[in-house]
Amino acid sequence: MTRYLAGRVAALLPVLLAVGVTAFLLLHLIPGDPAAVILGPDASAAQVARLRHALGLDRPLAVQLALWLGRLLRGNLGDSIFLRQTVAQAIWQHLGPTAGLTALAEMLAIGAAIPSGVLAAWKRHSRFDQVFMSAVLLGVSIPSFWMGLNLIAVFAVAARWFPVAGYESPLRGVGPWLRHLLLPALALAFTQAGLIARMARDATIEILDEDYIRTARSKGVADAAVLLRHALRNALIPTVTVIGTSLANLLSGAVVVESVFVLPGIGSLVIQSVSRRDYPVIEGVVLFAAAVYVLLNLAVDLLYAVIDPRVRY
Amino acid sequence: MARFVTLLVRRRPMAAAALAVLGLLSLAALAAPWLGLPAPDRIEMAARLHPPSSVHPFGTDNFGRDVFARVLYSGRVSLPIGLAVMALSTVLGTAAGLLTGYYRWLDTTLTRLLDGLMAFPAILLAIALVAALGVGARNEVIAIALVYFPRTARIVRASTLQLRERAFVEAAVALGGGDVRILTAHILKNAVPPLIVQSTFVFAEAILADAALSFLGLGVKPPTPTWGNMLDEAHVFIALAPWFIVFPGTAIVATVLSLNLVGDAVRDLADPHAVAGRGLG
Repeated sequence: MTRYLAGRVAALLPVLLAVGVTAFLLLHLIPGDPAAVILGPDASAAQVARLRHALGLDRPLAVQLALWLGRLLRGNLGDSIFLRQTVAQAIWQHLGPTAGLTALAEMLAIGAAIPSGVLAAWKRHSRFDQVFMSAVLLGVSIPSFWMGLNLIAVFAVAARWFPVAGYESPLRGVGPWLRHLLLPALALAFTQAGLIARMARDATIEILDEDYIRTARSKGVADAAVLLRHALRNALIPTVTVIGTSLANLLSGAVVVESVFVLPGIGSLVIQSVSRRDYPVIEGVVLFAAAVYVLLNLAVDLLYAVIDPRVRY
Repeated sequence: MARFVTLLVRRRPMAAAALAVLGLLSLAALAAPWLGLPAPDRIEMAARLHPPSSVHPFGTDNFGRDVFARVLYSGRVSLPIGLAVMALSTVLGTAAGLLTGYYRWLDTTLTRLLDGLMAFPAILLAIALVAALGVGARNEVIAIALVYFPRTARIVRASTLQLRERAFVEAAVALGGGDVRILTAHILKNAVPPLIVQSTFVFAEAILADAALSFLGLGVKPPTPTWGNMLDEAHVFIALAPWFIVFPGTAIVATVLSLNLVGDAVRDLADPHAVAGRGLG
């Protein structure tokens, strides 16, 4: 296990390096002089020169890359140009709403997707399966932010069950926190549920054709027991992979959904930073999100060992 | 093409209907200026936020502009953006996929780089790229294509790896065929079916990404209408005019859903091993 873990982590390093280099190149994609672009048209030459120096843009590209990677290794994402704080502090401050939102959305999505996916596979080609497949296709075709707008129109504006927008810290009570997060989480969960449910159905269909399922049924095991004890557990394995990628998708969707519900999360931080031309923050958030994705996938790989005892290292 | 449509109508009626919806949406967008509609930017302050009526079938927006005309005109922006993203990411993805699949020495480095690119959440990377390149239709296309081409590359690479070992490729090598000829005439030609399927899905993703970016104010800017920026305007008036969010959103869903249906159908029809009757339609 330790050797496997070490191998997996070692395999991550080149990917993380590629991620770092890509994020570094973002700032250098800016046409012309990034310092001049950041400061806007009214800046004096001296101001531009000072920012160039502060950002290290006056050094050779290779030196800049090496310094930036060195800083990253020490966990330093740099300083915000606009906010009086480091990029890491800004991310930390905005992490709460995004983490709560994505976790809630993922729980809702899994809760709906896995039982319905397994059931659709069990009743393959039935009426339920057809409705299920249509719902899945609709789920992946509806933009989550539009879903959010519809939920606001129905449940916040018309029914007045939920606030239209805003956020409440869970420290001030779980109830208000949940009331503010439930609609955005539902909007996000719809798409995710589609992705996970399709995977769960496919995986279950494959497993239901296995010999050990036929054996179980022929020796008279009840349908429910076959489904729960034999099929579900094995169908979970490929489904777990999709959950890893879906969490990354959720981060992507969260950016837009946060802006619909005015949640002060990572997405809002990015959008604000774009209009403030605060490139170090944009770069930092993008890098942070990619790192989360890579680490989540590592966690998923390790989860295999827990769910599937056949995986040996 | 005609044979494909007949096959679709017979075996996948839902996908055939989806193809018809796509054709209708494209035709409406193309013909919009000649349909006798009010100009999409004609402001009529006396008719602000009117609900759907016989004069304005989709109602009017906060400037009294005709929402039906604006939804059709949006197709003139969003559909070409989707097409351009599809074209660009297919070209980039095919090139990267062929190279990494065929040349082992390139495979490790380039594939790692593409894996790195795929680790970024899609919309977040597109936002960062647009922020760096500047707002505008051209930069938006570049940004979205850069986000999605590694997925295409991965699929072409997988086909290339398989085809490279096949006897007919070996025969072509033995006959002294050059790399370029082998890659294009023998490998690419046989990798086309999965590539078409993938391109359809990229088109759908591009429509969704364009909608998200222009909803956030990072796509094509008003007064030029796009489905995304109309939803941004509708958001403000959601309490006064809840119907306003319905139409641009439905246009997005109709486009994306149709593309997904067509993509699924092409995949199943192209794959002789696919179980008949699986999936929709």
